[in-house]
Amino acid sequence: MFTARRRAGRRRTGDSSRLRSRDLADEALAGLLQRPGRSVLTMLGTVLGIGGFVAIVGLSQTANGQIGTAFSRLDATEVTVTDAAAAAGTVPALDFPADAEARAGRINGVVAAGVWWTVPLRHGAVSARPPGAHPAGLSLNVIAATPGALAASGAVLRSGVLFNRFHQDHAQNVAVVAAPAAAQLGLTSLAEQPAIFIGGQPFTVIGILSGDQRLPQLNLGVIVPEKTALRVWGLPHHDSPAQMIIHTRLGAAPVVAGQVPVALRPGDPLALTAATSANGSELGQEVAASLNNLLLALAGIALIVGMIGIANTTLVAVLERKSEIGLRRALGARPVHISAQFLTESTALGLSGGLIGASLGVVTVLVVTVLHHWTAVLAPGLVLAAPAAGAIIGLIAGLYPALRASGVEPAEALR
Amino acid sequence: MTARAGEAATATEAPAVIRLSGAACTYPGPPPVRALKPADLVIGRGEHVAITGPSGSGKSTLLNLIGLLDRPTAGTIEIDGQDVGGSTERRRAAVRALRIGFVFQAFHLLPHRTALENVMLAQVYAGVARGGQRRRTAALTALAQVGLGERAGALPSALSGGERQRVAIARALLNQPSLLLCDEPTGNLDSATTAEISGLLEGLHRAGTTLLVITHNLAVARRAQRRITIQDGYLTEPSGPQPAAPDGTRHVHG
Repeated sequence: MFTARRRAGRRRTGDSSRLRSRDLADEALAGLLQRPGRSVLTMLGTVLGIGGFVAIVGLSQTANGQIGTAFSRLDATEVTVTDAAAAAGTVPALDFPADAEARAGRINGVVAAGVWWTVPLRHGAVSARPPGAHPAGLSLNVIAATPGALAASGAVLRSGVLFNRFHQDHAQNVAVVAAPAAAQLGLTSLAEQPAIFIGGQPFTVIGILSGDQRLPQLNLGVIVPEKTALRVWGLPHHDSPAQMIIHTRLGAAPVVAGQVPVALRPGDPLALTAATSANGSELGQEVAASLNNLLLALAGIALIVGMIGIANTTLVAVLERKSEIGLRRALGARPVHISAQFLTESTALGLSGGLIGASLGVVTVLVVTVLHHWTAVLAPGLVLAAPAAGAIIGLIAGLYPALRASGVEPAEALR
Repeated sequence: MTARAGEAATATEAPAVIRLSGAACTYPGPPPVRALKPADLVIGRGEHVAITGPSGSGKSTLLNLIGLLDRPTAGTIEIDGQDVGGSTERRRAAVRALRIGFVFQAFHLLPHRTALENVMLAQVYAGVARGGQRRRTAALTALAQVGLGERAGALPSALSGGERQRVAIARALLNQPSLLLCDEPTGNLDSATTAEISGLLEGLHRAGTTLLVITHNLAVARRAQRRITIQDGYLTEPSGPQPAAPDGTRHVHG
């Protein structure tokens, strides 16, 4: 019986020993699980590196996504022109020409444009009652604006009408009041053409604003036509000089910003400064980008440290397991089988580190996103590439130890 | 005599399991060490051969040559009639996997694996197909063969020295090798356990296994049909039947 079995065995002659991939995977896994604590510690560097990469890139993508959705439409269609000369001076001045609105409107790409400023008035200048009555008036922002400024700022009416070119050209005493200011002044209905008093002057309230997209200053105040303000209170004060707000078509803002000072003041364009809102955030993006690069460099260092850690642990394992290597050789393993086992172990370490790191990175992005009430943006390719990067790091780290392992002399290792 | 009988059998039936023809091994110096002088040795199928000799006599060199862990610097080695002394490492690894079962003094069991898993390690490189319970069943059979069927799930640390060596023997038997090559199989065991292991080896021999045992222990060597001594690299085999050593005067010291 025994002999018969042996004969059967003899017929099963192979010209080469073999190592099935499933067996290789089993042996490598068993090797890693022999010392789970050490395996986890070895993975740590890769976990930190990969996790850092995913978190940094994910957070940066998410933040960019927020800027994109929240601001880009308004940013890309807004130009602000400031009266640089008046702001630098000490006397009231207005460097915008009287036909500024028409000049700006002729520039290609401009949808609406207008000049506005805050009228400097003493406290309690605005009241629903005639001068001298009690109680004293309210301290509300009084803003001088051209009809074009209201259009360009995206003011939205709740009731009534906005003042128009007629009111502007004839310097009518009319006012548009923002909803909160209207509530403070006790204005509920415009049916009886209510009047308010600004600095003692009566104004007819013709509209109530429910909000404004671009000029938050309008939301709390009382707006009067620009010509009326000039007639009643004179030129804007140098502390709050006039500005022009321009609503452009999408993408036209930078071009318009370059042209508008010349269009408004051909003789002295430097008196005016035009800026797109994007200018401010460009700087912010540069800062964010350099910070990102710094963090990515740190994550890269963590990855290299992780790779050295895997290489070191695998090398120690090779030295510790010399007799195991000798035994495997005696059982028919070829040097390439020994190399494959240690390479698989180091690759599995890197892959596990990559998987755990990618998971932690995604969790980090999600936590930050939830805390900021943002929408998480994460390229799926990045999340899939991270474990693969970990595996490659493990593979590279295992090359030298695997070479050493394949060179172990079985006769010596078994002594 | 026995060797003759082996050769005669070889000529007419199957080839010898082991045939050394002028096999020698010299380690490069300086000075060069002639660890094994040119040696001729034939071990036929089913034989039980003991090799004894003091330390440094060349026992390990002979074992490494026969076990294909080292290559001869002269002469040839045939296993089952195939010259393997100079063949490729790929070929030699396959011969180790399928035709030679190793039993070591230090057992060489993997400490984190059960007895069964240690035995099954012999299937990893031998091309045994996975799937179903085939490997497991074969390993359990081998464990039962050495009397350890009940301890298949035990870790080596939970086994006695004798049990560990039995696990190693089961592992060596798993692929039904042509030759069981034992290097000091009882070197780490006390005398009672030594008797137990040499009894097991003798039982395997009776069942048809070809055994080559390298040992210091005369009690173990006496169980063999043929006793070969090695001294200063020279193999010598006293011809004729060898009486059991009556009083220990023929002890080989090492």
